[in-house]
Amino acid sequence: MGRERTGRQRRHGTIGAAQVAAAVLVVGGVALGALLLRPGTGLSAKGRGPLGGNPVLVIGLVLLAFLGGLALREKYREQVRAVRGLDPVEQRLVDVVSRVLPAATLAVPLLVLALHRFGSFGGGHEAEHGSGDGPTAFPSPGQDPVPDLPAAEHADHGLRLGLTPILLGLGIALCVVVVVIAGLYLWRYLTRPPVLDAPATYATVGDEHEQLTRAVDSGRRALLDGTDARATVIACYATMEESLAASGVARRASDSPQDLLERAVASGLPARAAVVELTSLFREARYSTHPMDDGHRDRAAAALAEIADGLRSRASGPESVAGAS
Amino acid sequence: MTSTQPIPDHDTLTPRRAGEAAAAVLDEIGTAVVGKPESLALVMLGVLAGGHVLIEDLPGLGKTLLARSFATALGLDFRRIQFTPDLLPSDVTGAPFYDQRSADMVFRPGPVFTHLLLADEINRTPPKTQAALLEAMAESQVSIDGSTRPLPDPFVVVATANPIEYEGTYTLPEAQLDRFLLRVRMGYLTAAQETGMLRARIDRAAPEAVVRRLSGPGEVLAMRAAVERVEVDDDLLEYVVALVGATRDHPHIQVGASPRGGLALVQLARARAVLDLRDYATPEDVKSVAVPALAHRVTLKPELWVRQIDGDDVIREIVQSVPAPGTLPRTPAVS
Repeated sequence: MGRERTGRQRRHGTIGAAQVAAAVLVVGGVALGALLLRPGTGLSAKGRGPLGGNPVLVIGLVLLAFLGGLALREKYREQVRAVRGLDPVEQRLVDVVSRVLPAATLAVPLLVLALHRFGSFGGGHEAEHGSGDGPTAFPSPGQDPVPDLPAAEHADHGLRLGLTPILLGLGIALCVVVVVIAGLYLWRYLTRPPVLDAPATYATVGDEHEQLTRAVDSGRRALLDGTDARATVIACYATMEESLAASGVARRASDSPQDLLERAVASGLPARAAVVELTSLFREARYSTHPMDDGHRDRAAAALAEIADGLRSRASGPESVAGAS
Repeated sequence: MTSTQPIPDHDTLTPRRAGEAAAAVLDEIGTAVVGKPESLALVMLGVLAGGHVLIEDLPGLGKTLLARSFATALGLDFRRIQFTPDLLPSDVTGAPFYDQRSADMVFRPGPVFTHLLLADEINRTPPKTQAALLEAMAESQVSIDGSTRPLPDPFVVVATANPIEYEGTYTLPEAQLDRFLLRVRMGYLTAAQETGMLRARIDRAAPEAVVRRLSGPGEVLAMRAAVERVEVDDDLLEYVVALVGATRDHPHIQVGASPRGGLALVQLARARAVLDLRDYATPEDVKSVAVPALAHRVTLKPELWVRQIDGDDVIREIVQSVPAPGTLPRTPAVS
């Protein structure tokens, strides 16, 4: 459970960061689109923004948006396919995004092409002031005609006109940088390998813990009964696993007996020979049909007792030292 | 210097005795091929499991020496084909010739009619010639001019491939790679091992160490028969199936391992058990051969090539994530 929760939190955290990147990408992309189009009036009126003067740039960006949309859609589908166990809200969100992404991939470039006013180069100001095909801004009847500006105001106006393109250019550059960074972040998120969860421990796999507890109990009973040597050897090994887990060396789901043995030895386990002996006996009992007799049972019991003594003395060691001092 | 041993009846060789014989052969080869015990053991597993071995690594790492040493120590008839772009299928399998004295067509066997064939730089020849060899590997027979000729038993191919050069090479397709039971990588020696190898060369005052013959074709067959006596628990088979299945569901893999991959994994695990002098396989056996048995059978997604992730890495990750058989058997064990 704990492992699942941690994995889930990690996944949500990563998805949250990716969502922020996606949001920045979308908002930035729309802003960029507005800079390209910026229709003078009405939603369906054709227009051209500050960046829209160069048709090559417009068509390039349209192509880029289309290809990027395709790649994003493909990656998204791949990622979603790999994710299991979504709750209903997440599932609905995934369904909606799965439908919107392909539509947007096609619609956005088409709209940019359809609504963009391809015309003479460098006619931005004329278009804005009504000399082009676009709508002309006539003063309304109730509005006073603009008075002539004095010379000082003319100079101020000229300065402001000089600053405007610079500020506009800086803003556009900033917008492009933010969009590119967000896009890169999102791309890296979508293309990186899935983060492996910490290997599941033996206790976290289904009801293995409960089974193991029962096995330990049955092992102790089997040791007392002494009827089935094979079951006794397996139960002794299960008890050893429990003891190792209690001392901090839990078995992972993908561990073989040898893996557990190596980790136990690496953690400075006392009674190393006994662990090797019990592991060897367990392998034979678990994976072969060799007849098992009382000799095997006694060796397993002796090894388990030695391991238990070793773990107990290691656990009580620091306390006894502390008590003595 | 060679010394032949009596060849026992192969029905009587137990897994333990087969393992001891294999260990003796490995020790002998170890005198010639220095510092590569794991690679040598893997090639031996391929021989014991009755498959063919692909050795993929850079030139000069001892691939040819390894194959020749195995042939000598196992007492197998040995041939070598240097694969080149102009090699023809008939250069591999053999072809009928007109005999003027008997006025008849006579079949002249190619180098494939041997016990141990070293196919050197197999990726340097066009697919047609590769296919001729790979067909012989799969069927252990050659069909020419309507007649089928069986190959000697045992028949083992040790093929080498250089993974770095792309100019003038023909990469083996996945379907053909699947015919190899396992892929072995040699890797460089450590500095100490390399120094030891140089010292050994100076001490013996000869280019190559002399390997003694310790076995023969009959004993190799006996060892293979012993592998067949190694028992495999049902839970272990499920583990193998889970590993192979995981290669088909992994997000980095485009095409997963075939059922033949599962068969290879089981046979190699049994052979590993024999090398450890056991007559039963364990999860350790399966895990230890998973990478050489499966990595060459999977096709990774193209973008991973850029990120320098190879099949070995992915299979290693799968082995670390697929649950091994539990401590308790699914069905209650009875003494």
